[in-house]
Amino acid sequence: MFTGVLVSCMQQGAQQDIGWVFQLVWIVVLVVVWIYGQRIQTVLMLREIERSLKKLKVMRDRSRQMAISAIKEIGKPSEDLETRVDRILEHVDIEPVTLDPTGVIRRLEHIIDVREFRLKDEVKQMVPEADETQINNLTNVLEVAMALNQIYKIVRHYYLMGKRTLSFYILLQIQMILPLIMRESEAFIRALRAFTLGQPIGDGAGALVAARLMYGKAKRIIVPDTIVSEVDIEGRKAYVIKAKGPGGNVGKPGEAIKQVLEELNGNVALIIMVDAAQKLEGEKSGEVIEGVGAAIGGPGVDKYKVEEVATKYKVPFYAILIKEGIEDVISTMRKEIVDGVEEAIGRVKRIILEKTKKGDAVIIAGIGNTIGIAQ
Amino acid sequence: MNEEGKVRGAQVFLAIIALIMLIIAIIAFIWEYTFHKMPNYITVALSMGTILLSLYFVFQIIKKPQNILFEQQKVSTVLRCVNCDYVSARGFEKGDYIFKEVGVCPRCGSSLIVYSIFREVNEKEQRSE
Ligand SMILES: [Zn+2]
Repeated sequence: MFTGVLVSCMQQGAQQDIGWVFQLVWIVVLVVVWIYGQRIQTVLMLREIERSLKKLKVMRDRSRQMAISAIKEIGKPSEDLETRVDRILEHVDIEPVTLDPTGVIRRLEHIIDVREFRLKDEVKQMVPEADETQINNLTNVLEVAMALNQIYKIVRHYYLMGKRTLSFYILLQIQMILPLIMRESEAFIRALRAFTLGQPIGDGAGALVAARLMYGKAKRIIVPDTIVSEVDIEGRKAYVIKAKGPGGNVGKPGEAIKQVLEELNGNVALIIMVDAAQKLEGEKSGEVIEGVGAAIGGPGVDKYKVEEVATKYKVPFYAILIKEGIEDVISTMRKEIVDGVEEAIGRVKRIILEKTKKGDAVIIAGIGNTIGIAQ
Repeated sequence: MNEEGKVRGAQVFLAIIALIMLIIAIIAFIWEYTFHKMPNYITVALSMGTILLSLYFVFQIIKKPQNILFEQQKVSTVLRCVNCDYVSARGFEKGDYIFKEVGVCPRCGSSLIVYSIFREVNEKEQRSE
């Protein structure tokens, strides 16, 4: 705009000189862009990542604050609460060695068990007066805060590395996946609200199917945090399995299926697993689809166990999946997913009617985090 | 909070610069017209560009930053009688969970349970799907 003022102050006769100047400016700009193009792009990328990083920091701080206030709300916490929370947020899990893959699943399971025990133990020490449900929910809240902390630190790492080296390719790596990272982080923030209030989440769709089937029937704990109930469905004896609610936990569905199968010496006609599955963009939320295979997410321990034991006894397994978006999986259950649950129950009954006969035993496992869902 | 304050300050600074640019551009525009009576196309184009750019900046800054993240969502709890077909709905209350007994059915006196808890997605989110 200064050029605007400048030009307006000039005499008409000076026009030709200005034409010259402009041409020169153009040539200089062209040369600069030609030589420093990538450098300029790098700086622009740095700016973009910096913006996202700031947003991630706000999210991380907010999640830490929410975790602390959720703990304070439940009981009189110990004095060093904030240091304790910070220590948990920095927690790392070290993956088992896969150089010698024999028994890696068993080792992984052990690490997961220890981790869960430690987290719950920490929570118990922070709020000794909390009941089981509250401890489970708080553990979930802390896990979300841990995830957000981890995401923030990784993005910051790439940002600072890129800033120091001004390397286009270091920044490119993080910039490519940044939209996905942001989407996931926003989902985590939503999850925090659901977890602090104890609301059922999208991932609990499978657990809700099982809960509906077993409501009002006798139940027993078959493995820690996991319950089984014997239900009569269309004259078949169904063993319905889900994690124990209404606290937030996923239980051990794989181990539970294995135990039931072993109790019955493999005399099971069918295993049906119901789980939430991530939908593709464009697919409808709450849509129910069917398939074959072990429908269990997570690190793979439970999936491995089901596949192993089902293969051993040659029991067919079916999957019923309720589709939902990545931002719905850990946020409060959507209306469409609740409708999907009703449809999934209908599908379970249909499959049982079609594939088994009266008097058969079937296993129905509702997979997922059962927060906000009792039985 | 400190970070947010810094961002806000930078935005105000930008807004002031944009406003100054706007004023200078308008003055230059008038100046050009009154003195020469004949439009100089380069100046007109530059001034117009500056005016539009400044307006764009000002609008960008005035526009409230959207904060979907921390907004409250509407979560409903559906209550149902275990015996008859009585159903009612209310807002979610802390402590609600599915299959929690929350009282007696006003119609038949059996226990009333939480049947489902869900959030309804607003249109904006719906559209982004
Ligand atoms: Zn009733």
